Amino acid sequence: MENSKCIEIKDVSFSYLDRQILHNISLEVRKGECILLCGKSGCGKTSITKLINGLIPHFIEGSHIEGQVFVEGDLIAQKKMYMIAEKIGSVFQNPKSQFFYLDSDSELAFALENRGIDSDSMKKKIDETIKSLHIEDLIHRNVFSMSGGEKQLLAFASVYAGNPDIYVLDEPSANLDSNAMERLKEQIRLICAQGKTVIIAEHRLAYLSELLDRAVYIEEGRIKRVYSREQFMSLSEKELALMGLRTTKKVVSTIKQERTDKKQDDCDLLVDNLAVDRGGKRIISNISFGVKAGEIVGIMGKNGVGKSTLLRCLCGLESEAEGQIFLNGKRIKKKARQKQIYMVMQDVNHQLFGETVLDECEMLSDGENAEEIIKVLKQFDLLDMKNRHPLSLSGGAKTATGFSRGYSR
Amino acid sequence: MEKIMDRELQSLKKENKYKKSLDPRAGIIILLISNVVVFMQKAAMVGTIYVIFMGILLLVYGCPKSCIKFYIVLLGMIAVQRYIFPYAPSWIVILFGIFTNYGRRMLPCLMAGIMLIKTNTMHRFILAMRKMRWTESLVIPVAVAIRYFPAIREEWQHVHEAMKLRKLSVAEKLEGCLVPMMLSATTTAEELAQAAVTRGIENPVRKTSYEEIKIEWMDIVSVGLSLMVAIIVLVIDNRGLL
Amino acid sequence: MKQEMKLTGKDLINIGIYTAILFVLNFVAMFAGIVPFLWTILPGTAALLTAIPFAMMNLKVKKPGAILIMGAIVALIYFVTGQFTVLLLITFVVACIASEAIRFAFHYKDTFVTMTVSFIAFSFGMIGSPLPIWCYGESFFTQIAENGMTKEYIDTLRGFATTENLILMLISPIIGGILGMLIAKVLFKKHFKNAGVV
Repeated sequence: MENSKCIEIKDVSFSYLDRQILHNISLEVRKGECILLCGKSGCGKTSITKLINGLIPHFIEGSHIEGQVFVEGDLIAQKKMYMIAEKIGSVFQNPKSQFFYLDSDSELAFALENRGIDSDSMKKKIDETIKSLHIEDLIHRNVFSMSGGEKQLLAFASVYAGNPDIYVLDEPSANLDSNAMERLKEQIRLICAQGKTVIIAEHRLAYLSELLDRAVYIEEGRIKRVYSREQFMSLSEKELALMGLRTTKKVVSTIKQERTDKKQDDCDLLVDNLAVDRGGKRIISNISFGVKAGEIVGIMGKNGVGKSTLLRCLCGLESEAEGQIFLNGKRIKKKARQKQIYMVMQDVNHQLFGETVLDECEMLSDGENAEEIIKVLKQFDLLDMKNRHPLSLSGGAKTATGFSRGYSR
Repeated sequence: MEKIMDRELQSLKKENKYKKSLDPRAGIIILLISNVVVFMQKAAMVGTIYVIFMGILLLVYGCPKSCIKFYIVLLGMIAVQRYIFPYAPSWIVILFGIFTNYGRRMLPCLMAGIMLIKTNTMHRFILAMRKMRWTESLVIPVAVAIRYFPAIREEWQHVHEAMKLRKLSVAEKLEGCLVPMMLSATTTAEELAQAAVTRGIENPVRKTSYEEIKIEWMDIVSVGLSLMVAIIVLVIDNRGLL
Repeated sequence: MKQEMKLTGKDLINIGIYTAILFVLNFVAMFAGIVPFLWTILPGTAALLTAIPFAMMNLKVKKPGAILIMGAIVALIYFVTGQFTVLLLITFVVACIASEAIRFAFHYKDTFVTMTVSFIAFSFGMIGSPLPIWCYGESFFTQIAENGMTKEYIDTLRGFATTENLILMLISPIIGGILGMLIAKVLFKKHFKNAGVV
């Protein structure tokens, strides 16, 4: 069995800027295994992926590491990054910042060009990649015109073209819609079938349920438990929720159209026959619905169907081309909507301006007292972090801050 | 929004099909020649002749739209200088005079630049830089800078919108602009570097390419013609024949 | 050169990104130069605007060559857009080398003071743009008149061709540089440090 040991993490502790992130992590991965790293946001799963692909210790400055990491018998700390790169392929969370070139064709060749492979075998490898991953729709395109999902599939493909033995995926689905996620799942299924070793740190678990061999649950920088696939799948929703995890089962949503023709006057927010244009094109039209105070409404649909356009219009970033929007029975126009309706954007980074989380909330709530804000922060589980800078928080906590800010308004 | 952009791209692709590629190195030489013309010219008329020539070159390389645009801009500027400035109040003349003047002078360079950009991908530029044996220490930052310009635009739009959703004073607005821009630049730098490093950008071997660029006859002819026109134009200018 | 003083891929990418931002802000200052007075103090306005990306890059890349590469790229892009004159090119290159040399002299251990000094040196690079107003004297005005520049504009510019204005232009990068760096320092303390960026 010694031979098939592919990755070996031996008692590793890691701290970054004097904050201890990982405590005594030990983990062995066999060749061809698909391992899921899961846990709450900020638990340290991303750091474990970085131990494997060499970003720790080669890339991250200001870090302190104890213990050793071996990949196929080699000590990672002693290998150069570009040597590791030939064996281990990594896909990261943010699709926007993973591409180097502006067009997809060049991007697919990037890893191969860096290795100095001759152009004929490079072309062959790229063609193979396109065929086996079914990404014919992604070639010859400007990367800036691609959706987040497409960018992520391209990132995966460009790693795949390099044919690594080990794949390290750090929350690859974080910005994907269900369609792109399905495609990503097929791509991962393919590499698993090829006998590659796959390490995935992930929040969304359902799409991986058929693929994973073992699941590693991490809490506050420690490995709490390692589950086999069967054990992991048999965890109940309640247990998962306690662990801070999402469901492992596919959710089939059924929507009952309950209140399509309800009377208008008992709704607090009312949208009447709304149409919105962007760039000279009609994006959405004939939208009518009403929402009561306290209701939570989910808007669903494929990428590009107009979900964000509708929200942008609701909060006053777009003007209505037709129709009207009423709040508490009074019509509100674009400028007024900007003041009275708040939106947490997809990339919440742009919305956080304050020096600390507390400051962030105070900036918006004119005149509200401090106790009120503390209460809100407590509700959002942010009280411990109230003196940290909003942008130093993990992705999930940032979004929560965005929310609480909107809330304290 | 994405759909619209894609449609634009589709049409761009179609347009690209008829576009001939100017070798980046040839393009840079033409740009150099245009620069020399701009610096040496005395009379504006001379620049106009060169602009007309560059327009024809743009046409040959399959960018009719750019050609027409530049001709219209040229005509517009001449018209403004001749027919509007003599009658306009002086502050307009001061503010826009320099605009039209510099604009007209810069046209040859702009046209050469546009021709270079429109007929090449960023990848071809990098390839050309590598063929000219530039060090990777310069090639990589240049590539990243070019790649980051569209990102700055995108970023700017986001920040601008986020600011609409709150009341801010001017100082806060400036801060609210610069800080998120810089922060997102920092994260992008970090993440992009991660992605590039794990794909072997630090590999010391000589980098290869999936496409090839070769200087062709057409490139040589274009450079030769540009040089000829430039010399003729400058000689005429110096002798004061116009 | 010691291994750790060599630029890594990460450093090069950092340089590229901050250079892009620096260029955009520098271009804004250049563009504002269509107002004659702002043109005469262009080195100062440019310094004021570009301090933050310059400081950021310095903090991220504490190695030789970073400023030279940054300068080379800015020059290259300006060249492609046809904005460079020979004089500007010369002052720009000299300033970049001086700025790099200052950093080298302090062994790349940047403090607020050393960074400000090297930034002021860097900012002097832009004096090549307005310098012709004073340096070529009347022949410059005759030349731009020949180029078809309007008489009103030339008269306004000629009004600035005084020694006082020359001094103002020459100290503008010092004032702009110090102010820009102070603003950068405040913002860094307020945001970037706490966000764990620097």
